Amino acid sequence: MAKFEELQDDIQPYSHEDNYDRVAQIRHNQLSDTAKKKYQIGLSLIVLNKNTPELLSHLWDNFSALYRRASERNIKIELLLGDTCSSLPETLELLDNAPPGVSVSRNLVYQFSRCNNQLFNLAKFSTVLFVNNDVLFGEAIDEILNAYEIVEAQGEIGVLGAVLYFPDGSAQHVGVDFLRDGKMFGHPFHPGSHLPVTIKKGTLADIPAVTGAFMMMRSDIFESVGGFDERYSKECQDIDLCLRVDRLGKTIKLAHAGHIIHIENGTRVVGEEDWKDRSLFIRRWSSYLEASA
Amino acid sequence: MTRRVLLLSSVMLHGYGVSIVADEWAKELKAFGWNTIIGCMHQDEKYRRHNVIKVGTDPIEVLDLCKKLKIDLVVAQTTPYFELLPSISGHYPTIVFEHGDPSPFFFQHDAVEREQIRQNKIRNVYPHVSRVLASSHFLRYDIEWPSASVVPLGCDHVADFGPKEHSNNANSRPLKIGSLMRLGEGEALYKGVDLYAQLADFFKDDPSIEFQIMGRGEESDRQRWESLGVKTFLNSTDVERSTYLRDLDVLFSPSLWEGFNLPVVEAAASGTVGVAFDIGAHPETTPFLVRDLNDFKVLLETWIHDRALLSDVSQTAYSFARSKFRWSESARGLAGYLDEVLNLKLLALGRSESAPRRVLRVVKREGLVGSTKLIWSKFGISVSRDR
Repeated sequence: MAKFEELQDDIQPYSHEDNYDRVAQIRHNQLSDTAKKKYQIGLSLIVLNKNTPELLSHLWDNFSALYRRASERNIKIELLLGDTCSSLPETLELLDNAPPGVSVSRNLVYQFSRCNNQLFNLAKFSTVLFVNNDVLFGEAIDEILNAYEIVEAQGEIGVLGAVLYFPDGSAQHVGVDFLRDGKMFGHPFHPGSHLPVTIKKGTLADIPAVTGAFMMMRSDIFESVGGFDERYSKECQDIDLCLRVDRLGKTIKLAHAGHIIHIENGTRVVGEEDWKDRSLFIRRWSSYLEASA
Repeated sequence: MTRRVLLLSSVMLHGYGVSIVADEWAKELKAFGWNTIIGCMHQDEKYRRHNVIKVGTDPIEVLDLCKKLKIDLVVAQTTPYFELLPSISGHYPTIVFEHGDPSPFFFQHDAVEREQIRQNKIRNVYPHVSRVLASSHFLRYDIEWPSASVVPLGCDHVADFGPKEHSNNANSRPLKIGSLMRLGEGEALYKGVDLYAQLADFFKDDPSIEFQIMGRGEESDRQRWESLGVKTFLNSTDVERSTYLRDLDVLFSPSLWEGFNLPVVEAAASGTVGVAFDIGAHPETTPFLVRDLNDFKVLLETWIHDRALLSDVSQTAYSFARSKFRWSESARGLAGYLDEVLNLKLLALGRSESAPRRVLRVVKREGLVGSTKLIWSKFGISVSRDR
């Protein structure tokens, strides 16, 4: 029996959603035989943004550098930017002056999974990189392109994440693991966060899951698993995706692709947790995690 | 000292999960000092045994029977016996063991009546018995009785063939996917029969996959399923059922409500991965949940071509089911509540069991190591314990 009895109240797997809602979802999603999309060899980056002109300005610079280097290496790339209703004049001006290779989709209503899925439907290329607008590539341009080539070449890789740094040089992300016992059993967490990075540059490690802040995978895999699950409104959709890919026998890898910074909005403020998302995640995956341990 | 429990179950018929539950508990409870007499309304040859008797739903009749058989405690695991418990609670300790009922919204023609039965239990049954137990955490929410305690069921009544290897050359034969359910119209409303039919229809021209179904039903059911290309097995014996579960590559339960889902666990215990929707108690009973038919389709398409992966998941499912769902553990859990309820009753009557006798019984039940751990725990000292 899943360890539900020991879980704390706010992530009890049945407390946020009754069976009627669960059935409605199954009935709503009709079995579909959508013909598989044909992708050109290349890399599609997908980023969501709202206002934050300084981050958007960084992104234009980062992408321009990546675009130039990719051209030199004969790699086709594009950036699909989803703007979720920016209103600041500086941002709007930046959006009007996007660099080559960028397509902007405006007026999206923010919901992480849905917006990313919508943008993915526009993707042309065979590998996709979901990346947050507060991730700065820095000097890691070639390493990101190397990571793309690894994903293209190694069919067994399901999802590739990257070591991410805080601006202070400590680790922001070196993979995601799961609590294996106690009141938060099955709950994802970031081991090693805020500690010095111990993984060596250029290494590729097997890990249970990666953050959606930097997530690279083959487009056909993302398409076949149905993308991000839109039932998660704020949290866990990236980890859920990793586990769905893992279940298909693919590996989840972490690459040290240089000094990529994730500014991140700081530690999540107490009270901002989405317990419904967490409860859904625990309900879906805690038995799988327990059985696979 | 052996005590006697009357376990009331509407049916003791071949093919009904509650019959398996009652039968297994009756066997296993002996080890914990409880003799079980099963009272039922309908019984067939399979369960015609000395400890299975026919009992009506008249409280006077049940009380007379309890007196005659020197019963210490009464457990009901189905309607209409639930509803008689309050009438005998003044005389005997009583326990409701809920396996749950499919939600009324599945049954438009009698949803109102079903909701009334549900509400009647909440208002007039659960508050008037000594304990409410349930086979899953899901049920505590579904029956709207959050203080219910959970006693998981077992699966080791099915033959243990060991984990299954899918050889590489299995790629050359179709992947066999099957389902196990009662095939009648009544069940169709919540068993997701239409979803299984949709899936079979989707793959009907694909030679790499073969659909099967087994269950109690009529000849007309066979015709309906076979017209969809689904190989159908009606009213099979236990041996045929066991062989079916073992020989499948994947068991899929399309059900949209389950309080536990014994077939999914039985399949896993037979070496066959059991897959089910994220509904009801499935998150507790199988590690392989799918969010919808598309999710399952992706898994099937993967397993068709990767039998090594199918071997891995089958073994994972096998280990999960065999380690977590054992009748001896289920009976241990139930016996704990039977003891507790009976002791409370005896205490109320000033006839509690003597301390030496209680110690002897606990040692017999838990063994020396378990008893020592229990004693430590009384002093607030936690000792890790296998579950």
